Amino acid sequence: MAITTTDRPDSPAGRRSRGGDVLAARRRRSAAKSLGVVTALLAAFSVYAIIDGGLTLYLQRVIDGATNGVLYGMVALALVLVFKATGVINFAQGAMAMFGTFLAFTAVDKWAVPLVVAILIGMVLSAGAAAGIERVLIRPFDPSNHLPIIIVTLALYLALNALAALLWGFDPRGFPTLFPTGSDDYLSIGGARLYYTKLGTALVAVAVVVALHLTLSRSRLGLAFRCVASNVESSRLLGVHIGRTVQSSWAIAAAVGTLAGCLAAPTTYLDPTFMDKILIYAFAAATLGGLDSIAGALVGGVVTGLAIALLTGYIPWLGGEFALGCAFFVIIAVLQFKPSGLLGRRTQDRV
Amino acid sequence: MSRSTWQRRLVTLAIAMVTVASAVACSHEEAKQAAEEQKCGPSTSEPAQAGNPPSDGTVPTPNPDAKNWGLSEGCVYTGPGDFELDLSDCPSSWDNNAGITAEEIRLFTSMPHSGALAAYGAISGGIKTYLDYVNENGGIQGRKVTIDVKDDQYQPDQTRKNVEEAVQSGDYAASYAVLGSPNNLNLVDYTNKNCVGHYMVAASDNEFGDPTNNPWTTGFGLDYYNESGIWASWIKERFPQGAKVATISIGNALGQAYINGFKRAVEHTDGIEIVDEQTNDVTAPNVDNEVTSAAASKADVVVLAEAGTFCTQAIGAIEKSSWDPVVVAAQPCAQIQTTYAPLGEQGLTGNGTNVVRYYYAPTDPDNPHQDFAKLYTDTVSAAGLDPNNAQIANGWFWAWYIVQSLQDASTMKGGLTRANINIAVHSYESTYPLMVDGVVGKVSGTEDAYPFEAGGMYTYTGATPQKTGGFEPAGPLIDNSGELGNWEKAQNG
Repeated sequence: MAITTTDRPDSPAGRRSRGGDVLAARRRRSAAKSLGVVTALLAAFSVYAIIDGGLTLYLQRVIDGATNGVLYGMVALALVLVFKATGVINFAQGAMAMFGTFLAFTAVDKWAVPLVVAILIGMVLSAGAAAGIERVLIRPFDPSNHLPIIIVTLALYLALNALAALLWGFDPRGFPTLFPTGSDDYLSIGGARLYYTKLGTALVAVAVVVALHLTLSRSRLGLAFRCVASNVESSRLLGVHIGRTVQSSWAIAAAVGTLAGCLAAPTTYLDPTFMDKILIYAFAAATLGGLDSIAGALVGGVVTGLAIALLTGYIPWLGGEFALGCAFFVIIAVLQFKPSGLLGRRTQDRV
Repeated sequence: MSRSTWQRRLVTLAIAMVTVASAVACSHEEAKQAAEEQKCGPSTSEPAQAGNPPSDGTVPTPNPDAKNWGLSEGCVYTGPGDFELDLSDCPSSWDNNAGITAEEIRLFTSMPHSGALAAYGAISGGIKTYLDYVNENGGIQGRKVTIDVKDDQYQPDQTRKNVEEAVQSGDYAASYAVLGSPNNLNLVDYTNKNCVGHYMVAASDNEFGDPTNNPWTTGFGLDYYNESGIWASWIKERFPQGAKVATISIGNALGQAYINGFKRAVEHTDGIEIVDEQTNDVTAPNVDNEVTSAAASKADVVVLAEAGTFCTQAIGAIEKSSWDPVVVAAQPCAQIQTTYAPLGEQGLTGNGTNVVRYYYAPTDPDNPHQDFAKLYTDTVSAAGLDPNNAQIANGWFWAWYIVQSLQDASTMKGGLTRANINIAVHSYESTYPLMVDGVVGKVSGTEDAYPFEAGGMYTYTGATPQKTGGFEPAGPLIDNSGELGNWEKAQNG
């Protein structure tokens, strides 16, 4: 997908100077510009919104939108992880996250382990399962031919949904949360309520993004991810183990997805379709953020969440049913005007 | 001589031709009469043995008025409430006695037994266990009633295929309790064109109550318009000085039907004003945005026309908000285990939510009809089914009213025929033992096509995050009987 200049052999002490890298500088400028445009649009709309409905309502909508957006961003993150390493969108990402969340739920409900441990169990199990799925269902296919792999992920989506329905049924279930849930456990911001559950979820999401960004931008694994996504043949010649790289991306993505599921489930409630609904918006978030940018996924998620909350909230004739339209609009607009997204890398082909 | 022979032959031939022609005409007339007899005539079988229902009220007994209804003249059958059924337009091969023998009445149904909504299909287990109980206790005046269940995975096209196959087999008297709104809407034209009983559908849309245009289709249960009408009446009682109402509905046919019905009821009720309408997409991850918008209206009452997880999400989000409206929720939000129990993990309860109830689940602790509840629990458990499954309990409720109709049809003029079953499903008046006191299931021809028009509002109370609560009456029974009438009247305001 992109030409990477990280770890250029002639960089002094392994790090390049800021001004020395024309591509990176251009990318930063482009990202700053796009973020600026989005922020300006949001700000302009916010002025109208506050005049129209008052500050408290506006803040509540921003909180609703941003906290929902964080969930979209977390799932988008899982999509991005697989995309970064394979150039493929995993349509089963939501279903895998749902399954992992059900595993964590079973651990809490049946084995009575503490929630943190249960979530970790769910993450580890789903990472292991994803590694297995990759080895058995994905690796037999040519990694440079994306279509068959995408079809396999669609089949996997259907299979996991059916299996979860069989095992756990369709009745919604409550999922415990890591954060306090008392009726007074919220921050009051100008009269709007930000519950600790949602605040905590957002903080965890930011922490995960920072951790993954640091890990992948500074480790051999991250480099291998980009290498494989960029060109399978060259990566093989350079000695990158394609299978293992793709496998680890699937495993990490599944673990992140399960974490996202466990953070979303307390407020969306748990049933076999609960992640499908988030996945649609996660596609929009990932596209908006730039499909290969980890930070972009979260930014894209939050912007998508805010756009939905503000547009459907303040433009009455749009109504809540337009939420999906918003997501669709975001995807089309990004693909049309800025295919690399807010923070993604622009594709450059050598002629 | 030769001339006279020629003339004689001609005359003989002419006489022979006339004889043959009249014989053919006669037999054609006979065949026509036989076909007409098969199509419109009375019952051709008598029950092998007479059976009487038990006297303990666990099986409905025939309505004494039923003997005045049924076969009237030629192909016309009549019932109360201006109801007239003319079989002349039915297909020529139509048989008034198909699926009915001296021993048996055969019905069929189509519902999901696999796929995402397979859980709804459990209703057939309830129907079958109650019919078995009736068959063991005298049956339908000596005849046993059986039902064949076909799986459609909730796919409307498959439902239609199942019904077409069943009709072509000629083995069944009628279809009954076919499940799902889209599935039944996809059948109405076919069943009414082919004179196929399409009775007591398991869908609450008001379209099914249209006896004038679709006499072969009948609805069942509390329909959307009557339920939302009960909300409006109750809100008016609760806020005599007037109330501002916000609505939050799911963006599909279910939500739309509730909102249409509620708006119609509000137009007929002074003092209630709908100040805000929110609709969430069926693919929305949650309804936080809609609740925030509705809260901004500062309405006194919020109506939740939701289903599934959205019920729980909406009730939870309202409880967490600074808004404190009276919450009125639709039937899909009235299941304690699925709607309210999941709130506990969030430290919420759902206390204060108001729903319509018109019959008790047998397992409801406040159900005053414990004898029948015990019969239900014992019978269902003996059949290896779960008595706590709400769909199985619904099956008993549904089955009670088809048994009532078949009992009535058996005593009508012309005996038990498919036409008389049609008259009977348009003319029953019967109280299922688990009805809330004062609620009667009653239909009357074209005048009253909706069987349940009364119900009480009940408030969910006593829950803590650790344990679920129960429903308590929130005022006297609200009875809107006869106000809606039928689908034509409902549409015209």
